[in-house]
Amino acid sequence: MKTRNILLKIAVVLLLAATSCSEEFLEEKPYSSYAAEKLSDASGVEAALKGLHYTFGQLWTWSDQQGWLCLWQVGTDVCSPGGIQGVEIPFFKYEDLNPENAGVNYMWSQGFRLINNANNALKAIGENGEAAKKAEALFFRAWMYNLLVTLYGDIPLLTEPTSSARTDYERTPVAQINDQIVEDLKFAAANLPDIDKAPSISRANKYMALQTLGEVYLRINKPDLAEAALTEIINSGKFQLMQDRFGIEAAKPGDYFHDMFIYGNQRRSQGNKEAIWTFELEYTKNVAGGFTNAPQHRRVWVPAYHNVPGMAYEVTDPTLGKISTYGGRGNGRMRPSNWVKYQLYQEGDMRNSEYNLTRKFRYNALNWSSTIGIDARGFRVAANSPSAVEVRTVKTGDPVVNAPGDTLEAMFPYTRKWDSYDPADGWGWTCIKDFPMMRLGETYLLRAEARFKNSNSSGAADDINALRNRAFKLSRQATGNPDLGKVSSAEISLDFILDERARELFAEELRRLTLMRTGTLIDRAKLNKESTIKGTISGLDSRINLWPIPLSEIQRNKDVTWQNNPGY
Amino acid sequence: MKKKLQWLPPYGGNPELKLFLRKMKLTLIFTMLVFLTFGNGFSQVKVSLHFEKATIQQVMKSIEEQTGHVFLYKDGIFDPSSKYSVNFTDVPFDEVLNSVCETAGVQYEVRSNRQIILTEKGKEEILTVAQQQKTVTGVVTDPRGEPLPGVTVLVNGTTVGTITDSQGKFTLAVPASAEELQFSFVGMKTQHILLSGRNVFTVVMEEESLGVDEVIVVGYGTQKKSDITGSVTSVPRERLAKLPVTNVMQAVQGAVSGVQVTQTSSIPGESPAVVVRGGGSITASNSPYVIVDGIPITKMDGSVNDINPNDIESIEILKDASAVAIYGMNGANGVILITTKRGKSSKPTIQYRGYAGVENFAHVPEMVSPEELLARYKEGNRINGSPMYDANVKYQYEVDNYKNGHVTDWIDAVSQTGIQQNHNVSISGGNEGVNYYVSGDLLDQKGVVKGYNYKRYSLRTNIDANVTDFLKIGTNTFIVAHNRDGGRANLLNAEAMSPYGRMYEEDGTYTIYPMFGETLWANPLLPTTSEQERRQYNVNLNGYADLDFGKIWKPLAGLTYKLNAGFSYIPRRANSYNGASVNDLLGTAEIWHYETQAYTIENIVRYARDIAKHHFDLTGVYAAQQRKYSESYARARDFVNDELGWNRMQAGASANVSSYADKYAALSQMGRLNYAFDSRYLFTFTVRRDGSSVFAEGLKYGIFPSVALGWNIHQENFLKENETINNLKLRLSYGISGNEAVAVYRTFTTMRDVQIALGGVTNIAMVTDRLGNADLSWESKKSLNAGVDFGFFNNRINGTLDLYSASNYDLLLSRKLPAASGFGDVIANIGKTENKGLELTLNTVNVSTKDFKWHSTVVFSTNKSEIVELYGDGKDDIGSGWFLGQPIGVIRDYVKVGIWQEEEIANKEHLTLDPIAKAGDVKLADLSGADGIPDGKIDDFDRKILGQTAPKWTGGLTNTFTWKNLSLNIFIQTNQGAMRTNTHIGMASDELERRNSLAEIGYWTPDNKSNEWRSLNKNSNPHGYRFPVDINYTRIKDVTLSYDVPGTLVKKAGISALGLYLSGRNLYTFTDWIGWDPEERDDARGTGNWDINYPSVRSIVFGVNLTL
Repeated sequence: MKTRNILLKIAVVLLLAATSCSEEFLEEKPYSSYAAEKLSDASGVEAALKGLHYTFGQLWTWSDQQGWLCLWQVGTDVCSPGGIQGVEIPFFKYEDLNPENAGVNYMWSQGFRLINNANNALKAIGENGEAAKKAEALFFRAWMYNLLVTLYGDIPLLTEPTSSARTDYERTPVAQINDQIVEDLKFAAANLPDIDKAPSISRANKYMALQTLGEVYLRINKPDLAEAALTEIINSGKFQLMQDRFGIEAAKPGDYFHDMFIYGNQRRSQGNKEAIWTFELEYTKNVAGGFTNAPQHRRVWVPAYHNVPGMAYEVTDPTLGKISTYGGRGNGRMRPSNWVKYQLYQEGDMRNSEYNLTRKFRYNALNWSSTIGIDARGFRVAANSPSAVEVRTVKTGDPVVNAPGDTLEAMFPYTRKWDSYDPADGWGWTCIKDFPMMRLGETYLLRAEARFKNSNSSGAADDINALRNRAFKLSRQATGNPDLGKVSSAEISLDFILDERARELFAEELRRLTLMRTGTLIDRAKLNKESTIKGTISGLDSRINLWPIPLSEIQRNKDVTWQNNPGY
Repeated sequence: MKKKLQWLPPYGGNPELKLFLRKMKLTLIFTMLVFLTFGNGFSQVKVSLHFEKATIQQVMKSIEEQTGHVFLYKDGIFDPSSKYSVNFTDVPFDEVLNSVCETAGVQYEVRSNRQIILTEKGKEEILTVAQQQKTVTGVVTDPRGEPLPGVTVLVNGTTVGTITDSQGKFTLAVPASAEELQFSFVGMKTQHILLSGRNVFTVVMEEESLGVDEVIVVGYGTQKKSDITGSVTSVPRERLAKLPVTNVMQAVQGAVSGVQVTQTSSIPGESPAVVVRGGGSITASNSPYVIVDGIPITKMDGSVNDINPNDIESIEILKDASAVAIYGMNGANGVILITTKRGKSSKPTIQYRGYAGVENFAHVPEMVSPEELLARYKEGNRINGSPMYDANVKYQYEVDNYKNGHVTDWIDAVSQTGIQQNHNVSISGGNEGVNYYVSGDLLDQKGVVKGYNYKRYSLRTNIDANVTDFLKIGTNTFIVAHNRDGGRANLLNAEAMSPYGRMYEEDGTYTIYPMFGETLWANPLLPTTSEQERRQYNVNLNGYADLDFGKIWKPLAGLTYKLNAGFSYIPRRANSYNGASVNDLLGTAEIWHYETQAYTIENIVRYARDIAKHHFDLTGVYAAQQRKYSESYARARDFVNDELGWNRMQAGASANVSSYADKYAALSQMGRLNYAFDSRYLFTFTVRRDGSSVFAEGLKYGIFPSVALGWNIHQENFLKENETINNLKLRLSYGISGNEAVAVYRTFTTMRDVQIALGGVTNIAMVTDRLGNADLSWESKKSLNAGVDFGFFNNRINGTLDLYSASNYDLLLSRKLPAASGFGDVIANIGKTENKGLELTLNTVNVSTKDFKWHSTVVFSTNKSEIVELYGDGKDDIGSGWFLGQPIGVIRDYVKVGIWQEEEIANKEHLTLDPIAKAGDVKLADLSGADGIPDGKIDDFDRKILGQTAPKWTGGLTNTFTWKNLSLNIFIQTNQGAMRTNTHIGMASDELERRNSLAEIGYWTPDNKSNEWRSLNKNSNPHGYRFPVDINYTRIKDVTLSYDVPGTLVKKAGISALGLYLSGRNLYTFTDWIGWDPEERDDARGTGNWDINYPSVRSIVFGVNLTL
C-alpha cells in the first residue's frame, strides 16, 4: 500500500508538471532573421543602404537567362544575335514580344524589389533622418523609376514600403512619376557626399545623382536643366577623360582607352579618374560576397572562338603560365552589327583599335597544325573537299581561316571591354569585372545632346570633340593632322550624337534604353540590315517603344484592371 | 463482384474444392473453420448419408463435411464397438441430426458458432461440473500444423494465462472454476475452447481473414474493429513482410484505398510522398501526420525512413474527420499510426529475416544512335547556323573517336547492377514481469547508377515491465544511422553525352568535358571522383508509464493514466570536397551540420466502464511538443592541394560560415467519448484544442470537434442468425480537423543579411526577405464520411466502402503578389477547396480447399479535388495556376494540333492562326481571344486546362495463391487520369541539336514533315508550350513466391520455422510515357534536383525468414 501511495503521488506530480505550461511556450521569436523595424539604428540603416547596392547589382548579375544581357543590345543598331539563348529572341523578332517574356518579368520584379528596399530604408531613416542617407536611398529609387518608366510607361508610384499584401495597385501617369524622380534626384544631388567623401568609393556620390538627373531632364525634354546638371559634373574638376596610359598594364602593349576596362584598373582608386560610378565586384575567393548570382558579361560579348579548330580559350605560356590570348571563354551570344563593324568608326579612332575592338585572330592552340582546304570564297573547308581550290597547312600563329558560318558565333570582331580570365578557373562561370555604370565620357555625350536640343550645336560639337581629342590623340600625332576626327557644329544631329554614343559606349550603355529614351528605337534599328540565319530584325512596330506589362502582374493585381501597353 | 461469385464452388459440389476440414482429436474433437454455406439456414441444409457398418465418428465426419458444423463431445460417450448403417438422401439437417443422435444415444445442443455439443443423455452437467485446480497442457499449431510460439493462452474471464513456447507448447495451472480457455495471437482468430474436463489440448489456430474482431490502434488507445465508428484502414499484413522495401510506405503504395503514395525519387534511401484522400491544401503540406508508438515523428524532423520495416507490427491509417480529429491541428492530412513489435511472454524467440538480390533499371529508354546524332548536328548547323567543329562532328573532342569509330554507351558507363540486402535479427520474449523485443538491422543498397549507395543500421529495444500489478512502464527506443556517402554520377549528363565523347584523358583521369568545346554537360562520371559524406541519425528515446487505478482502489476500476514521452535527437551532416578531379582547381570543402532536438509529452487519462449493455470509454489528453532546429555551414576554398579534403578547412585560403536556428512548439488538449449500446449502436464524440507557435499572437489556438455514429446491423436480432451476412456495419462521421503545416516565422516581415563587396572588403547588407502576415492562423478541414463494412458468406467476401466529402477552408495559401509590392508572395488564410471521393476495399476468398487457397484483394480509390474559392472574388489565380471549379493541381497549356508545314506557311495559313509561326514550329490551336472568340493569334487566351496532376483513380489488385506450403502473391497497381509535363520532350530545341537525347523524340525537317516533332530551330516553340502528356500506368508491382519449409523437416536442424521467398518488384509497367518511367525524376538541366535524376528500378531478391 505504501508503494502505491508513493506512485500515486508521483503520478499526480507528473500530471501537474505536464499541465503547468505557461503562455510563453507558444511565443515565437525569429532566431535567424531580422525584423524590418529593428533596422532603424545607424548601423541598421547603413546595412539597408548597402542592401540597395546589392539589389541593384542583382539586376545585372542575373544568370538564369544569359540572353538577359543581350536583350538590351540585339535588335538595335549596334548588335545582332549570335549563339542565341532564347530570352532575347523577341527583342529582334519583335513580333514575338509578349507579356510573358522572362526578361520583361525579371526587369519588372527586380525593379520594384529595389524600390521597395529603398522605401524600406527611407522608413528606417525617418522623415528627419540624416540627409545623406536619405539621399542614397532616393537616388536608387529615382534611378530605378527612370528606367522603369522608360520601359513600361505608366507604373505604380510607391513611396512607402510594403507592409501587407495588396492587389490593388494603380498605374500612375508617367508625368507624375517624373516629378517624383526629379524631386528625389535633386535632393540626392544636394545631399549625397562628394566623390571622395562617400563611405566607400563604390557608394553613392552626388555626381551619380547629377548624371541621372541630366539624363532624366533629357528624357522629359528639359535640355536646359539637363545641361546645367551635367555641366556641374564636368566643371567639378573631380573627373578627367583618361588620355594617358595608366594602371597595372601601362607597360604592356595597349592604349589608354583600353586601360579603363582592364580588371584591376577600372576604379577611381585604381587610377581611372573618368569613373563616376563603378559598380564593384570581387572574386569571392578573395572577398566573401564579392558578387551575387553570376555576371555573364564575358559569356555574351566574347565570341565562342574556342569552337574553331586550332583555337583555345586558355594556353600555357612558357614564361607567363596560363594565359588567355582572347579574353577568356565566350559564348558569342551576340555580335556587333555590320554597321558597328564596318561603318561606324573613322580611320584613326582609338576606340576601334585592335586593343578595343579585336578583329584579327591567330591560331593559338599550342603546337597545333592542320591541313585545310580553302574554297573559292576564301572559307575553310575540309582538305579533301571538292570545293577546295587550295589546300594549305596552317599552324599556331597563322591567321585563322574562317569556315562559313564561323562569323556568326565563333569569329567576329569583338569588344574587349568584357574580357575576363582567371588562371585558377579558366572556364569561369562568372565574369568578375566591375560594371562601368557612369563615366565622364558619357557626361559629355549627354551634355552634347542637351546643348543640341538647346540649339547650341557648336557647344555640342565642343563636347563631342572633347571625346574626339582623346580618341584621335595618338593618330593625330602619328599622321601630323591635328584636326583628324574633329567634328564641326554642322555635323551635329541627334543621330550623330547617337552614333557617337555607340562609338564611345559600345557594350557599356544599355543601348535599348538610350534609343527608347530618345524615341529612336525603330529608326535606329533599321540601320542594322543584316540578314543571317541567326535572325534578322523584324516586327518593328510602334508598340515596341514600350515593353508590355508582365502578364502575371496584370493577373495578380486583380483588384484593379490594367490594360496592357498598346499593341500587347 | 459477380464474376468472383462464379468462381466459388457451388454448394455441395466437388468435395475437392470445398474448404478443407482439419480435425484434431485427442479427447475432444475440435475445429474452427470458415465454412461455405449459401444463405441456408440450419434447417434448410440438406444432408445425404450412406453408410454400411460405419463408426459414429465416420458418420459425424461426413455430416461435418456437408454442413460445416462440428461436433464437440467427451471421449467415451460413444460405444466404440457400435457400428451404424444410415441411408439419407437430401434429408434436412435437423432431421438427420435427430435421427443420428437418437440412434447413438446422445443428446445435442447447437451453438451459434456451428458447434454441436454432444452429451450423454441426462448428463449435460458434466460440461460445467466443478473441478479442483489442475494443470492443463497442450500444443498450438498454425493451419499447416506448424507449432506456433507466442500464442497467449488465457483462462477466460481471468488474468491467469501463459504463452506458448517455441515448440508451440504450453502448460497452465487453471483454477477449479475455469470453464474455457482463450487462445489469441496476432493475425489469428481468437479461439475459445471449453475445458470440459480435458487436460491435454491440441489447438489449430485459424488465420484471421475477416478482421471483425481485430483490435486496432486508433490513437491514444486501441479499439475493437467492430466498435470503430471512423474510417480506419489497416495495412494488410502480407504487405509488411517478404517485400524488398526499404521504406514501409513503398509497401503501402497501391495496396490501401485512399492513400496515394508516389515514388518521387528511387534513389536508395529516399522516402516516397504520401497523400491521404487527395489532400485539400494548396500551399500547406499535404503530408499525413505519422506517429510511431504514440510519438509523432512528423514535425519532429523524423521520417518513416527511420523506421525499420522489419520492426513494424501494424500500420493503421486514419482518414475521416472522426478518426483524425483526435489529432486536431495535425489531422487534416490523415494520420498514419505505426506500431512496432513487442515481446510476448515466452522463452526467447530468435528470428532472422534477411534478403539479398539485384536491382536494375525498370526501363532503359533508347538513346539516339551515333549516326543519328551526327545527323542532328548537321540539321542544327543547317537550321540554326550552329557551328560544327569539322565537316562531320560538332565538337573538338569528338574528332578522334569519330575517326577511330570508337563509341561509348554513356548510360551503360554510369550504371551498374544494383545490389540490395537486408539482414535483421530479433530476439523477443519475456516472462510475467518483463517482455522485450530487441532487433538489429542492416540494410545495404548499392544503386543502379554509380555512386548511389545507402546503408542503414538500426537497433530497436522495446521493453515492457510490470512494476507492480497496477503500474506498467516501458520504452520504445531506437537508434538508426543512415549512410548515403558517395559522389554520384549524373544521369542527365550521361543522357546528354555524345557517343563520340571522350571519356578519359591520356593520364587516365576523366575528361572534364567529353564533348569539349561544349561545356554545358560535364562528364557524368566526374562527380564520382568527388568526396561526399552524407550521414543522418535518429536517436529516439521513448518511454511510457501506465497506471491502472482500478488495481489500487477497486471503485476506480476502469480508470487508467498513461504518461507517454518521447525525445528525438536527429543530427545530420553532409561533407563534401570538390577538387581538381571535378574541375574545381581551387578546391572547395564544405561541411553542413543540421540538428534537431524534439520532445513530446502526453498525459492520457482513460476511463472505461460497462453499465448493463452500455459501454463508456472516455479519454482525455494533455500534450506538449517542442522542436528546436539548428544548422551550421562552413566552406573553405583555395587549398594547396586536394589531400585533406574537408578535414582541415583552415588550409583553405578563403572561408565562409553561416548558421540558422528556429523553434516550434505546440500545446494540445483532447477529450473523447466512445459510447456503445449492446455493441449495436456506437457513438463517438471528440474535441481537441490545439495551440501552435507558428500562428499570430491571439490566433494560436484552434478547436476541432467531431462526432461519429456506427450501427452494427448484423448484431440486430433480425440478422443475428443470418448465415449470409456475417458483418454489416454502417458508419457516419462529421468533424473538423486542422492544418498548421507552414514553416515557422511566417507572421513576421523579415530582412535578410547578404554580403556585398564595397571598397574591396566584405560588407554586411540588409535586404527585404519575406512579407509576413500578422493575421496568420490555421487552416481547417470539415469532412463528412459515410461508410459500410461488410462480410458475406462466412466473410468469404468482405470489405469496406467509404464515401467522403471534405472541404478545406481558410487555406494557408501562398498567394502570389503583384511584383510591384517588392515581394513575390505571402502566406495567408484564404480560399477553400473540396475533396470528394470513394474508397473500396474488397477481400474475397475465391478458392479454399485443404491444399489450395486463393485470396484476392481489390482496392479502388477515386478522388476529385476542386478549388471552390480563392480570394473571395470569384476569380482564378492564373499566375499561380489555380482555377475555381478545377482540381488543385492542373496543367493549363495550349492545345498542340501538330507541326507547321512549309506548304501551310507558303499558303499563309498561319497568318490567321499564329502569324509568327515558321515551318517546323509547334502548331497550337487558336482557342479563344480577348473577346472569347478565336482572334488569329496565339496568346494566353489560348491556354486551357488540359488535365490534373493527381490521378483520377488508382487501384490495386492482390492475388494470393497458396498451395500447401507454397504461396504466390501477385500485386498489380494502377494509376489513371494524371498528367505531367515531359521535360525530355520539352527540353529546349536549343539542346536537341547539340546533345544526345531519347531516340523516340524526333524532329521535323523540310524532308521529314513530322506532324509530331518540331524542328531543331532554336525558336520552334515560340509560345512556350510545355508538352504535357498523360501518365497512366499499370504496374506489376510485386510478385512474391514463398515457401514455408514443413516443420518436420526443419525441426531436425533445430529450427522452429523456416520460410524462403523470392520477390520481384516493379517487374513490368504498361505505359505510354516517353523516358525512363512515369515516376522518374526528370528535372530539366539546371532546375531542381537535375544533377541527381534517378530512374525507377526493378529488384529481385531472395529472402529467408528463420525462427530458432
